[in-house]
Amino acid sequence: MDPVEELATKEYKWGFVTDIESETIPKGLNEDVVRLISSKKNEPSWLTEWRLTAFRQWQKMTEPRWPNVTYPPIDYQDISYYSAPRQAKKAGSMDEIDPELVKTYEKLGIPLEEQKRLSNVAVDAVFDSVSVATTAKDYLEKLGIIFCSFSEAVQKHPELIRKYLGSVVPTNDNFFAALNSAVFSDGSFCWIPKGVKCPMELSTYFRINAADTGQFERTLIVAEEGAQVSYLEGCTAPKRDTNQLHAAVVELVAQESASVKYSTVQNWYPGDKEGKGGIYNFVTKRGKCAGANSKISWTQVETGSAITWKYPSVILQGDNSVGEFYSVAVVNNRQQADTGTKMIHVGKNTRSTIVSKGISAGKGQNTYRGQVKVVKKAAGARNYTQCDSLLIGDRCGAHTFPYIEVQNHTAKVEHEASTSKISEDQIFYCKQRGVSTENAINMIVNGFCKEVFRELPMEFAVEAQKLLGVSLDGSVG
Amino acid sequence: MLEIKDLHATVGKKEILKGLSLSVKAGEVHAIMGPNGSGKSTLAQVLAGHPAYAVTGGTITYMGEDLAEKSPEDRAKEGIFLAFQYPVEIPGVSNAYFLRAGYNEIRKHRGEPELDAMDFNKLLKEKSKVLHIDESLLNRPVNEGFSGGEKKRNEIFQLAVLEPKLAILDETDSGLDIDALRAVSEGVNRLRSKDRAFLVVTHYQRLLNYIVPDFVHVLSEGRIVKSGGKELALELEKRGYDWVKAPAAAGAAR
Amino acid sequence: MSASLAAAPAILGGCWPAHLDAMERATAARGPSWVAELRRAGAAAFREHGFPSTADEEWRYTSVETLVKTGFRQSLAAKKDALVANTAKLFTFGLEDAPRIVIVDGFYSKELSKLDGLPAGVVVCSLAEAVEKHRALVEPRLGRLAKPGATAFAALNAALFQDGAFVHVPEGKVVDAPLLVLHISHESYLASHPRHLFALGAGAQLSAVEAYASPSCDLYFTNAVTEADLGAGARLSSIRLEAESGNAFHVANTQARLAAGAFFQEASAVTGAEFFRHDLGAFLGGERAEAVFLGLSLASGHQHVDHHTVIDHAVPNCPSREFYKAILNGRSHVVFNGKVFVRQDAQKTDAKQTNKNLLLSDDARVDTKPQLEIFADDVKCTHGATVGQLDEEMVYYCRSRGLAPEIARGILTYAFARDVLVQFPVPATRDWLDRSLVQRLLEAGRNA
Repeated sequence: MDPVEELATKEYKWGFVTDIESETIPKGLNEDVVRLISSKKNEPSWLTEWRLTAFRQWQKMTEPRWPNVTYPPIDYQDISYYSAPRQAKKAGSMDEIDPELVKTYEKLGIPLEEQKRLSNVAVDAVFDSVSVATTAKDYLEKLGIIFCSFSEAVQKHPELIRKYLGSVVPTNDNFFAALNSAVFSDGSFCWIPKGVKCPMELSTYFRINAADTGQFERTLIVAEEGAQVSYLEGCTAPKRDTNQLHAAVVELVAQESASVKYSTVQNWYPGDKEGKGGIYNFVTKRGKCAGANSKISWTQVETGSAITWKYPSVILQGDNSVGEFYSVAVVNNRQQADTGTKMIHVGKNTRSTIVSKGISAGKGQNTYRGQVKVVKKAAGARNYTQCDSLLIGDRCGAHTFPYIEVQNHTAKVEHEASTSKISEDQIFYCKQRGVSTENAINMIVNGFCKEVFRELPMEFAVEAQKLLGVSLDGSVG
Repeated sequence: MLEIKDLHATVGKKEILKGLSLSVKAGEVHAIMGPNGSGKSTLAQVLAGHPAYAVTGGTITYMGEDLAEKSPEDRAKEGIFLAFQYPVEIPGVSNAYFLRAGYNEIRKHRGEPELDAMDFNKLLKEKSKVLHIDESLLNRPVNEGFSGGEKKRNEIFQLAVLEPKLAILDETDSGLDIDALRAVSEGVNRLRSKDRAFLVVTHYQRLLNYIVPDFVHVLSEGRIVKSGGKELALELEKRGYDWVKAPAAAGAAR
Repeated sequence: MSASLAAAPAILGGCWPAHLDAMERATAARGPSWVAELRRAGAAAFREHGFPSTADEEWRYTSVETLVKTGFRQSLAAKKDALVANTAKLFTFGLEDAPRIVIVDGFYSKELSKLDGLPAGVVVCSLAEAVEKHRALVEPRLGRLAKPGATAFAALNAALFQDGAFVHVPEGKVVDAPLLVLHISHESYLASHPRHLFALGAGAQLSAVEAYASPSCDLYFTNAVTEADLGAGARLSSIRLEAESGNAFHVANTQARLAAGAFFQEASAVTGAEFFRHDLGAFLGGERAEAVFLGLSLASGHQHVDHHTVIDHAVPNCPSREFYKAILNGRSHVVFNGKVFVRQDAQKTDAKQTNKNLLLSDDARVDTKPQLEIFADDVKCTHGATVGQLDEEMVYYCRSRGLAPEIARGILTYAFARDVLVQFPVPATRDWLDRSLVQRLLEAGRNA
């Protein structure tokens, strides 16, 4: 037998369903639905109007066709746009949360109870359309840091929401951002005041549970002058035969000398071996380095979803600002990913780094699409891009589409790309030293991704390495 | 320890080994010499279980067990080590990590507890001192960006760490300058012991000036055609391979 | 990235329907039916799709708006002009004594061509003549490599071409002397559509210089198509010289098809034309076929230079290499779009693509898109792209050895270009290029 054919297929282990009573609004989308979502959240009228504007813009837009992915048409009237576990209101203390939910998160490795929590990480747990719990809030409040669900922020900090919502991703930015702006349900809000360095990792854990619903969360992170924050995002969903839409928007703002680090471990249900089911992950993520000397860094490990469409980007507006994008994207079986970044150099002496590692296995199709743009006034801009593909098996594909647009002669832009495979010789060499095929592949793949993993916070790096092993199981042959 | 009888092996459709027999006991050092294409490296790869080589006849008995059906990693766990002629590069995986993975697999197999990173690093440091290996090598990715000499020294270093029962050196001398050759040989000599056997595959006699063998076998067209003591190597050096290429008797070595 | 593939409205330029109609009338009663079919296919494709807009991904950075708006003239018959005879002597590109075939404003010129001394069996003649005399060689190839529907410009060429060069090197023949295929544009505001066809039999070898030049500084439009069909083990090495008038529009489409073991090299030097766009493709259809594309562009003023390449690896064990360099001055705009396809069967592909750009002025602009599309796993594919300036450390080093900074910059600019220039084939023309560009490069760097 081929030495690399020995791996067994492991199941997606986050595929369980929580049995909980939910309130789900009927399928379909129109202005009344938008108003209904807004009223459920008791939103101020300006926000209702903002949603409606987005909805009207969305109605005039068409779904993008340029991504290198294929899927049957989505019926936007066949989706429920709001689903929440039935619970009087957001729990004031952990004791009030439905024990089923606590159990769910515990099963996912995210304990919400005080005594079991991960030290040094604050968690906002989002279940379907709503945030069910936010840990370590009180501690953070003492430092002046606001970390709460988006809905709560709308009530308690409307001035901040009004100032920053849509300031990085306008409602009409693209088809899915417009849809999100109209129907977004919840998400996380985080604001770090001037000069404060957030002492712990902030994180949001997204869980889709209900069937036939979409998840449209909205995350907004603002670091005021000199502030620093590191933020983590994780996500899983049950195994279902139908595709589910996840269209999130994430906006980051870094003021002068501030820094925001955003890490994602995306593990939505990828569908089965034949490509049945799985999440459509159509996400708009963008950061704005608004002030001088600011820094925004994206790190993503994308192993899940049937289809991924996302380009975490940075607008380098402040002089001397820095943008980074580190990505590992894995496709196996019939998964498709079209992901990458945009680095828009506007300020002087701005710098950006892109490191993208694409792994294609099974019948997966992996596309890197990245834009580096240096506008005319962006003197002294620097970009370095490294874009590597690893192919496992001969039924998969790797595609690289970089767009390099330079309009300033003092710019220095470098792009390098390579493609390689795991060779039989490498595996034999490992086996000769006593390492099994499975471990050899894990080792080689993790070695390939090392430059990205070292950007992840410690706990997540370990998690990501394990995840990669599971994602690639049964991929070799 | 190792008993090869009438071994036939093919790569693709081509038969390379055509009835090779060889017997190796613990503590012995056997040199396998022969011209290019005689099957030296094939023998090394067949013993390690390379999937591209198929055994089509004969037997290999190692420690009293038939090797033929064993996977490469099982052979490694049972103490067979191949120092590769062309060690592959594994980008991003550090030498130390790689070795610990293999080392612990072997220990597990022996029913011994695994070593954690700290204890293992201590072990690596000791071994690297003994073999004069630069410690920085340990944290570099496996063979990536190594010079030819560094790769070969790394192979011997791995040998020292994994402590096999049967070590096969496949053209370990090729591509080495005289200083590197001396360093590699010293490493090997240090690792000679009464429990460990060596199979030294080489084209040239010069390596055998440093690693003095107990037995020398000449391989030609897939068979051992002549066996003798270390003086045989010197004679080959002087007279070339032609005089032993006699087509007749498959010289069975003891 | 926000480009949409949604069909953009067809842009149908003012003068083009009239050109198509006139051509249809002029050729209605003559020429073989298979050529008429090609013309019809081209006209139909153009009438259906028109010119591309920048919403079309392949034309994202290259707007044809000015070209479309310009009213070009059409020439339906060759003209005699003594002036051309004199000026043609200027365009030898280091190949004074080499055989040459000359096309003037899209029409074959017997007087200016020099076709004696070719090895027996080798055919070099006008395409119009070849259509009549060498049907068996022409019919299976003409319009089959550069398909009439490939782009709007390929469509126009298929519909409107008058003439061009036909070159056939039969099996096993090696042509030692390089062949010059020269197109001269002479009449202002004229649109000409030269069409060349190279057919090399198994093991045949040829080196060629395909040149486009003009004695004037007029505005005109050259819309060229070149097809090259290489049999097993055939070798075609060519330099493509673009020395058009500084006000000209030059659009070209070159498509090569390679059988097993064939070798195709095209080295492109672009110095002239206000607007330049070249689509260059190689289809590697047999094992161990090899394609090498080289490019050197010197852009200044308002020049627009766009190289679009596609290398299609359809079978295993084929190497390909691309190396494009551009030096930008003034308000010039350089585009590079290189696509490498590795199909599922094309294991052991070894593809390398490099694009380097040197920006010497404040207003120049570079857009580069090096793309890989890989469907096989056992491949070695790399690409690299850089945009940058002269290395100030190197300038400093030169200065420390006593060179004035502007001299140092000039030398370094020349060195940047030479890096690719030295890899060009056809030594006589390569040396001529080196001599003729050195001064320009030294000055370009000096003013940086």
